[in-house]
Amino acid sequence: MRKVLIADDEPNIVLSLEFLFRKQGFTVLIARNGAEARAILEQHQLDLIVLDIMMPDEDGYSLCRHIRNLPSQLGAKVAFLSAKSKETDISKGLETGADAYFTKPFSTRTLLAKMLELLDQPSS
Amino acid sequence: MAEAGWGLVLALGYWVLLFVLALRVERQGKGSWLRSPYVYALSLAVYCSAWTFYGSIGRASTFGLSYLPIYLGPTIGAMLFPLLLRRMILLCKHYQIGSLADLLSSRYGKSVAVGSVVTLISLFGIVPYISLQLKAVSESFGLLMLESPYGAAVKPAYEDTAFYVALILLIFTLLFGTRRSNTLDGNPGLVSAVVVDSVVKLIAFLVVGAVVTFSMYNGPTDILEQASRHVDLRQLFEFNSSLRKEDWFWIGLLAMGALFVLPRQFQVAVVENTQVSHVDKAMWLFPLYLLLINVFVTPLTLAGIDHFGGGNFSSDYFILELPMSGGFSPIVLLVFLGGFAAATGMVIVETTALGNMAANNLVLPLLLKAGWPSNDRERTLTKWALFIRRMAIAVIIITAYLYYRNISYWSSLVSIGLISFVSVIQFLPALIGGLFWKQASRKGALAGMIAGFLIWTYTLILPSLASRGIIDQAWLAEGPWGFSWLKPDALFGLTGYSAISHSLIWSLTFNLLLFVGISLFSEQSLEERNQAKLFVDVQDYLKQQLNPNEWQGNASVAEVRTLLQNFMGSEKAAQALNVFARRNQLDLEHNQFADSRLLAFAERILAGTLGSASARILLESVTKEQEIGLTEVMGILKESQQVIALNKELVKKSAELSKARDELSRINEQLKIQDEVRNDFLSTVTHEIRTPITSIRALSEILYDNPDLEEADRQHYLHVIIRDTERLSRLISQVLDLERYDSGRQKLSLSQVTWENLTDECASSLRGLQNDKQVKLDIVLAKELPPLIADADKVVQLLINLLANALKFVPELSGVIRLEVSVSHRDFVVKVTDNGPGIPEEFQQLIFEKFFQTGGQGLKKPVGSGLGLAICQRIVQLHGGQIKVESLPGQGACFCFTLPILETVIVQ
Repeated sequence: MRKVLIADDEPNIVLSLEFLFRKQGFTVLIARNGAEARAILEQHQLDLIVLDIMMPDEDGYSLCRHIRNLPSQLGAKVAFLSAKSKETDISKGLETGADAYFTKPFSTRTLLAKMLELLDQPSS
Repeated sequence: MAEAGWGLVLALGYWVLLFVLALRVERQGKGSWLRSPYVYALSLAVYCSAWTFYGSIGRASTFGLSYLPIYLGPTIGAMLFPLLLRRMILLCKHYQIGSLADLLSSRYGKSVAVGSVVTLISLFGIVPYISLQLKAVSESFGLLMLESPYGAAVKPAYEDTAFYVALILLIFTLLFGTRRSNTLDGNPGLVSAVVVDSVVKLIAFLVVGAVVTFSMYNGPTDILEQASRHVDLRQLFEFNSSLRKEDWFWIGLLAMGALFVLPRQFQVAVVENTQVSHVDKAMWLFPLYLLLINVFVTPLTLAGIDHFGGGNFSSDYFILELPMSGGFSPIVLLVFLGGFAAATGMVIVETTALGNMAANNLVLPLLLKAGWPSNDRERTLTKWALFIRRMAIAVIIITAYLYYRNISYWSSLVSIGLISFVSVIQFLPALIGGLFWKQASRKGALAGMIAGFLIWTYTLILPSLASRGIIDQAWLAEGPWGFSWLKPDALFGLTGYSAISHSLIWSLTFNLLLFVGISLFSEQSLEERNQAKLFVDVQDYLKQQLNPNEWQGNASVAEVRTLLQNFMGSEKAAQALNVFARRNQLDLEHNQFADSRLLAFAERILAGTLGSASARILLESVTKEQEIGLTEVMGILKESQQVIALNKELVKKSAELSKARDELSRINEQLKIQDEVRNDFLSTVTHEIRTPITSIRALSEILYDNPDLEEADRQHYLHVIIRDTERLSRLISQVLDLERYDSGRQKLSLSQVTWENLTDECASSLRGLQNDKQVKLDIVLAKELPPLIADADKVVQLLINLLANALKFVPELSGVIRLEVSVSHRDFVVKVTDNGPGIPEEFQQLIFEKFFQTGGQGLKKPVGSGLGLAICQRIVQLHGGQIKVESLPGQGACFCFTLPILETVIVQ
């Protein structure tokens, strides 16, 4: 069973993502801030990590860099999902080592399809 | 006596002939026979006056060959024609110069002073010379009447031949010397008379010479033999003690120079010249004439000595007395006619020239400077110029006649002629220097000429006055006040020279020294420098067709037109201007300002008639051109100082500019910051809006795609959708609110409310939240609070914002929120206190900013939409109050604001 971490401080958004991934048979882990996310990363080996950028204690960029330094998460795909949609934000996100960058608001079907597609790609 | 009668008839007949001839020539106009180099050379022979005609023999009989330098000088001088005369003609034709005074005046900066000095010296020097001609004619006529030329008392004027001669010459000169206003147009009638004069006097001399030599004697050898019985010829015809060798040089130099500076020579050689190239032929024709007219001087002199050796006849008239004694009556009459012609030619040309000078260089400039005749519309200036010239001629001839009666009558011909030469020779340094030496200055020329003239007066005129008993003889014998070195005839102890050479040496020496010295050490004015360049480099200027003068003033075409009309009459002025406009392809009708070409053109027209100095004065009166002198130079210097000052000012200005630039860049920085803030605001708003939209869209899609959703989940999702929709609309209205406050469009709608009503409303609207969190809300109102006059809705919004904010942060269950209202001074003081986590000090000022984010860019502001406090601050400020926050971390926060207590309701 594949594991996904959703790190986002907006419960209402998490609510929808949780439903979507559960339906696809994922084990869904949820963090509402950077600290919770780091705790989960210590304990679980994840297949997919979905990161928001603006969170109360830590931004998604530093969290992504942290993930890329974790040997345990080498096999994990990281995707940003943020309301920040400027080109600079996107390229900055990808530079930190993320595999994909998705913007809010999103179409549930498209987002899910791309996430699954991402998971099928070999790790870089 | 019969001869006298014939002589009278002949003289009158000759004059009638001249009148008729001159009239015919004038009527014929320009294309006449006068335009020939032979005529030109013959006109130059006006040099040989009656003084020459009679005097050279007189001189030869006294001083032997000493008459020769008077002719050798000009012969050598003629070799200088191509160099000197050509240049003078070029200058005069091109710059419309009509006399020697005008030439020098023009050269030295169009100076009135130079022109006047030249004119005055000429008058003083030449008037006796003219009187000499009257004397010659009168005396020769007396001889025909067998009167002794010496010892007779002066006759009353009506019996005096000289008086009638003067009168007729005056009429002739007035008729033919002043026909044209423009002096440069020439006087062909006058020239024709002069040419006839020259031919007649030459023929007369040759005929009498031939007759005496070959008829009365058997050739020159016979004369020599006969004469040697009376005098020691060796003594007479070798360089003897009566005339030193040096005198030859000085007198030759004198005569050579006089060829260029005698007014009558200038008149015929320069003014009446019709073609410059005539000079080349005249160069040898004129010396030839001199040679011919001197061929028989020596035989005639010797014959005279042989005949009248010890007699009481004046040797001046040997030429007349020899044929008389031989009984050759026709020859006697021919000789008389020759002398008469010589005198006539000299007088008419000389007075014409002097008249021009006196009018244009003495009277007119002074009148014009005095502003006269400024408003005379009856007479044009041309008429005035002609009138003055005629008056001047009359005055000159009358003066000459009076001089003859009172002074010349008593002296011999020879002395006066050379004395005149010495006076005009004073112009030579200024003339030659002016033509070839740019540095020659007005001051130098003036000083030289005046000094020379004074020494001339002192050394030549004073002794003649002494001999007439006018001043004390002791001056001559011992020198003034006994200073022997100041003796007029032996100045500085110089003796052994003839009086003429003595005077010439000293006057020319001082003249030259002062002229050169002062020119070297004095500053030329700008005008002078310009003129010097134009004169010395005349060839270049003619080649390049440069404007002789750069006029710089501002004159309108109309002003120049008026000036010319006033000067030459409307019709001629219009004609001249049309010609000028056509030639230069100018449209004078539509041009407002006269350019320098038009001004130079007008100046040339005026100069032709009025002389260059007068023309200058007139044009200056319309151009208001400022002469560049010391004051102007000072002005220019001052200007450059101002430029320096201006530079300093510029430095200051540039400092100010750089300050302004700094200021601008500062403002730019601020704008950038503001822009950043705005961008930040926009991106935050965007973010804040996208968040609820995201959840709404995602959940809606889930509901749509999953119709088989469990009822509890469906209800939950729908609830979230509704809440986020509310959040979204609240956010939008807050953004719009804030925009209204910031743009100043938000107006308050004031009303009177009690604090109880306000706080009750807030409490009830927050009850839901409060109950959710199970926190306590205390509302403490001070007693007897005055009613609040404010926009009640806004104050409610303000209070709800602050209370809701507090509700968010206080801990559940144990949270306490306290709302206090009290009065301090003239303000209500409202405090909202909570026991939440508090706000770090560094953020306390910033939390009222729009979307203030407590942390890095990626971090999220913990408080709601981030617009609440910003709106609170604007509501308070709009009511005239203040808001602040006090907080210690961990000990809760206290938002405190004031609202002024207003006493009346402003009813809208």
